Amino acid sequence: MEIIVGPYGMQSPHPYRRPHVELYDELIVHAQRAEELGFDGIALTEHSFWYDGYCPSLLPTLAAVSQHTERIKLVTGALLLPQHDPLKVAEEAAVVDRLSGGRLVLGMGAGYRPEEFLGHGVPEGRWGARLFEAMEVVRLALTEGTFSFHGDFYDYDKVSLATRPVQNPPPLWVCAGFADWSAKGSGRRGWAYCTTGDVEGGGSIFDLYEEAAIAAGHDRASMKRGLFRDVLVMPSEHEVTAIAEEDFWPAFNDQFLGFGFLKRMNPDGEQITELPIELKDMFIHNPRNAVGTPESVREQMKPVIEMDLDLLIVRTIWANFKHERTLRTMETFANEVMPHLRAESRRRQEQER
Amino acid sequence: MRVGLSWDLDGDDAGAAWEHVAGEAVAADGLGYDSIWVSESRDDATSCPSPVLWLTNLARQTNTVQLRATRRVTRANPVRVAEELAVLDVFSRGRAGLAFAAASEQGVPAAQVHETLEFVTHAWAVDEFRYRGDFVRFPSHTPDDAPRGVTTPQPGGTYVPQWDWGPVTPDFLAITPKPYNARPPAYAEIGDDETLAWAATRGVSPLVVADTPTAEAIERLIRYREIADAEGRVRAEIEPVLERRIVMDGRGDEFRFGGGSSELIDEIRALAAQTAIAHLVWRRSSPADGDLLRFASEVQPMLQA
Repeated sequence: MEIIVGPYGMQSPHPYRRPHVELYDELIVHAQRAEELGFDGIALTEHSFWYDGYCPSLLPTLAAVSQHTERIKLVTGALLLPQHDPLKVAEEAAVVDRLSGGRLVLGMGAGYRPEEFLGHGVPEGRWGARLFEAMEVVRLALTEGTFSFHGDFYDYDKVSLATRPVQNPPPLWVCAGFADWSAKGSGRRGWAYCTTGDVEGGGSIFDLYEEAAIAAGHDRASMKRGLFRDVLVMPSEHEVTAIAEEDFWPAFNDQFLGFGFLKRMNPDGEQITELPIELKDMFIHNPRNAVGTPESVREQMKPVIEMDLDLLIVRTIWANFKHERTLRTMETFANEVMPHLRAESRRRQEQER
Repeated sequence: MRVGLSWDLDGDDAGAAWEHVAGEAVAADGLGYDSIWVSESRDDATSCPSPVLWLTNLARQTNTVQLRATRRVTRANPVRVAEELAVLDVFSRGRAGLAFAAASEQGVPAAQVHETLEFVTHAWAVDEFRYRGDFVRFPSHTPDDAPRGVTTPQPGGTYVPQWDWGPVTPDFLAITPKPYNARPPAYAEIGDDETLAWAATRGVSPLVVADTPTAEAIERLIRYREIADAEGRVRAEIEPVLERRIVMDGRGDEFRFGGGSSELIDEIRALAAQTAIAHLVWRRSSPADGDLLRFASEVQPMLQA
């Protein structure tokens, strides 16, 4: 199981404004520290047109990170592929893979914010179908010398990339939430699949994925499983509480409302501007999150080990987490949780053999 | 006059070619060159299809040198062009700039280049906006009866910040993050008469590339200057750029400057007096063209004095 830290969004939200130049400087520091601490990779996440400067350009950013790291994988988690020209993504992916000596991992998602599709000139709807078609274009472009593709959304005739990646191709992942269509669609097409888990954060969604894969004639052993997991871990309870109260909750409030996840209205029909307080405990202690001291988090991560993952993206940062706290969380996880995860994962693999 | 370097990313092996150019770029930064320029190309395996990405890789390897990418509008979403350059500008703390290749070279209408450049520069400089052109429409649901070009929301009503929007479909959007520099430099290659006149009228800085014969380059830059002067453009707002090949101690020709240091100084200064160029870019073909340290020591100071 590869353990990735991130995904970083490079955000400067209104509850905790920061200069973007500092955020990008810190990203390099965090990537180097992640490498020293033994993480397998660092991930970035993408959105466009969000007021806090959410990073819209993952591959250029990873190109910069590649210059200052030597070993860790550079992961897009996720690049919102239907909002891009897939051929252009393949081209840039080849450049990053070459600049990094073959360290790119390309995680690709559909996106969901209507304004992003409108801003990037992509018709609304059928985003999942677009994602899968675009991924096939990316795969062909990165593996074939010259290829043609004629689909519902994309049409290419005898095109080729002059610049070739080092890896043939870089690992390609579908990155999705917990929707059934993503699990089934990924399985049917034989794509590696990274998810937030099922509605409860559990691994039952992988059953859907594998059933679809096997029904389509794919070998179970070739299917790859990945998981995003929010982790708030600190040496002491009061430090965990500080992150939850001062960082996590304001970030949630900001993004969940603004992104339109909560379509709750006030009695007068206006959009609510503050999350109901009863949701606070529910979000922070959502079963998808591992929150607490190292001992507690190790216990909460047991179900994750049982998912037999190939990739675990440990989300130790949200929009407004403080630089020092994020580093401390990363270090606490790396020193006190990650060795346990790796040992248990190995033990499980040996048992299965 | 500012002095920069640009490269042909030639070679048998992409890794070696890119590494060589990156090495020269880092050396140029240390030697006090003002800029490095990389062009988008897809000729062979050593080409650079994503110059902005390539320069972002170098951004923190360099400290002061300006980072300039020459892009094509084909296979480019203008929104992505603006977003990517902004990230380069943030990483480099305000050293990014963008040039657009000539329309005729790309086989597209000149207006497509003009609209893209206008869109991108506004995307960096303004907050929420929309754009309606023949080639660029942002966001895509901008109605046909919207005014042409850039429009911004009319003030009125209670301002609702984006984090309180909830599920809405806005008519205006902002490109984020903004570049570190509020106005990253933008240039138009003036290989086409239509673009030459448009750029001079609008005060867009002109670029003449190395493949243009020197005599034609001079004629184009003079014509640009005349139109710009007639339009009331002041020299402080325009940065004319001339890219030339140079062979130190070699023979010049209709495309290249050649000669010893003093001959090069005389030739370049005479040309600058004629054309008012503010930026000379040395197009590097091979290390045999001349030593970067020697040029920086013997020629560059005389051009900047």
